[in-house]
Amino acid sequence: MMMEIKNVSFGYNRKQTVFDDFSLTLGEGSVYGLLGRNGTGKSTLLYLMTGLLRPHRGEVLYQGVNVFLRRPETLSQMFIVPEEFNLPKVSLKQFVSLNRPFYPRFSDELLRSCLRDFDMNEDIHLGELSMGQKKKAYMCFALATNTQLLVMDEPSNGLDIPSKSQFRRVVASGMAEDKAVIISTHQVRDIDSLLDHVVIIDGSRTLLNRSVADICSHLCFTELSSGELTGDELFTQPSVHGQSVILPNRLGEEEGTLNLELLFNATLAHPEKMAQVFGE
Amino acid sequence: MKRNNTLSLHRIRLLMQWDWALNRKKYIWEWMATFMAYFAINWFLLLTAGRTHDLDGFQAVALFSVFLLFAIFAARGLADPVSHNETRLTFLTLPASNGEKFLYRALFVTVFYFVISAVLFVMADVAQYVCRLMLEWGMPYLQFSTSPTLVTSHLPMVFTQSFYGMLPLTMSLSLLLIHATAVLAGFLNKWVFAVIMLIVLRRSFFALNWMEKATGGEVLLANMVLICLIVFCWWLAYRLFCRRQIV
Repeated sequence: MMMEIKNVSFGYNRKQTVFDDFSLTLGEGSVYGLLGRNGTGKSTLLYLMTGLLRPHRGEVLYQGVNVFLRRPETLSQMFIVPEEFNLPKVSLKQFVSLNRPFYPRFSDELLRSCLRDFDMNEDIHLGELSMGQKKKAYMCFALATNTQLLVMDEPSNGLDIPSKSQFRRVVASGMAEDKAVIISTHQVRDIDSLLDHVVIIDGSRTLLNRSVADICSHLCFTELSSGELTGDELFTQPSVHGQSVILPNRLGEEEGTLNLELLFNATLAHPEKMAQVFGE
Repeated sequence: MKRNNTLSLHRIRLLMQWDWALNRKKYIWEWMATFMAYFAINWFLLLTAGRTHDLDGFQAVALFSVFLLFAIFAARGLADPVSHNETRLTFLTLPASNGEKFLYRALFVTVFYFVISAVLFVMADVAQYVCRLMLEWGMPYLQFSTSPTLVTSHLPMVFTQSFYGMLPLTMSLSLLLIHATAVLAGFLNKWVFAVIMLIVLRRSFFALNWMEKATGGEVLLANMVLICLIVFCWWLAYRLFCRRQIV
């Protein structure tokens, strides 16, 4: 396993425990969507994964090494794009030349490709960009570092509509079998077509940790009118066309399209029922 | 041969380049402010020295004290990259070991700052000389190159003579302790830093009086204690540095 979070307990103070005996494992070769309610600890989990926070108990291991040791060989294999960040007031070229020596797998070709996908050129000055443009530039650099683990916290925040589809294309094109991308977001519609794996957390529990293929082989997401409901539905919620429903996917039925928002709501509302569907 | 992956001179050099490129404006502004302060002190010393070329002991100590204050504030700057929200995340995730990051900051705020301060000090002296030439005020001279001078007589006198009864090694160690405390205090908030520094400075001056009556054995013991405290401060500063988190 690439990332192992073992029996981690963490809190910012004595009154506020974020994780209590929390465990999670993540492998390579997938784009993970990390979902959860506000304040449930998604950003905290990302910081724990990248050695920016130290658990009070338990350990976070990246390829068997404790990330909080902050070894250069570990840090050079991971990159985090936080929700808020500061870029120095230098040109992109200078920023790249200063930081790339720390990342042995840095790829100029990837950088150029990502910038092209975002309709940006290399001759930009980071101090003169808008917030959205800075985010795109920073994501291009992040992808160009070619690290095995890329962690992004709310990456589509601040991006305009065209940039969101560009973002999906950019992340998808940068994927490889030995890499993992973990995206924490509330904007599920921005990433649902990008994900290979869904992780939903709530408090100290992992409510769901399944591949998209697995989810779609067990569940069917569809729209029904109120009169068509039979009572077999696992979850329903009102929609424009009537009811958005989750049904068990009968054996032999074709895999449907994942409705991430519906899955998220269903998992939070009925975690035990959803766990039963997957035989847990 | 096993490569030491936690202490690489190459990465330390990269860190220094990275830090300089991103923060050089800030450093240059600080050095300009330091230069102006030294320039002002130069003029103060000139005016208080009157018409003589000699600087008396009081002026030497005053100058030395100012230099020490700058060293203290520079030492506190060791923790800067991990103390400010804007830089903390980037610095902590930069692929270099804790040891490399700490070592480069330590070298920067001790050796490098000392050299820069000395250079700025001499530049300020040259600047006052040039100003006096241009203003045609008195007989211009460099305060640190004529004899007897601050560098060749008064400052060494502070360390080699029985200054307030304190032996030179003990005095040097006391100064290093003040500096080490400033390094440690840089990881604390500025009010705690101010209180700690006041206590340490006050204790240092108290020790000066105690040393007048101390025996050789007591001085030796005091020196050992000072060395242990200096090592402790630096060790604790390193531990706090390693345990720094994003929040």
